[in-house]
Amino acid sequence: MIENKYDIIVSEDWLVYEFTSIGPKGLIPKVVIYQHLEGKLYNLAFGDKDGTTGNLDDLVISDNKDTEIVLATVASTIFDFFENYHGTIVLAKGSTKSRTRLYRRHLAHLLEIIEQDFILLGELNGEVERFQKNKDYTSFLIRKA
Amino acid sequence: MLKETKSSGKIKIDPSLSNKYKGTTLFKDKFDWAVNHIKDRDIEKEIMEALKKERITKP
Repeated sequence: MIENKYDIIVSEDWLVYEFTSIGPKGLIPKVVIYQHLEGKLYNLAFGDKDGTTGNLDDLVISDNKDTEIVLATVASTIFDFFENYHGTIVLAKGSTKSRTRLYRRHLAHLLEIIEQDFILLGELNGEVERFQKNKDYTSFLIRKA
Repeated sequence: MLKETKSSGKIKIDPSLSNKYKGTTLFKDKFDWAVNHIKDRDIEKEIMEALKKERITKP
């Protein structure tokens, strides 16, 4: 179980997750969504929700000094999603190259926990392979082990 | 409703959340990228081949 994470609310269909980042910049609502692509494939998208307009933004840098907790919270939704969507595959990628690298570092950090239940793969130059630390993957695929 | 999940501990189910974003494509750029990324590909087969390759090459 991922311990250090924010409390989450989830939609009844287990596709939309919301939580609030807490830090020096205040309370920043976050949204994680699993979007159906085709067949067994889902896309993981994640970003900030503007507290005033409600608009979602996956490019904003909120700098709330809680990146690790935020990414651990997003990672925890993967467990919940797969508990409810058996046999599916999740595609994930950062909204920018630097964000994809950040996700890669955190996935590497959580690899032991993730690989207890899941198979994590990375994509590099159009080739899919089992995730290895220190490889600069452009996107990730996750499925239940 | 509060549910205890195996993975993340307590999680609250909010029935209003399912309808909140209904009919809108959230994070549209990312979604469009994903649709395009998997187009004409058999991702499941690619995963199986990657795992098979790993089994063959792993010492």
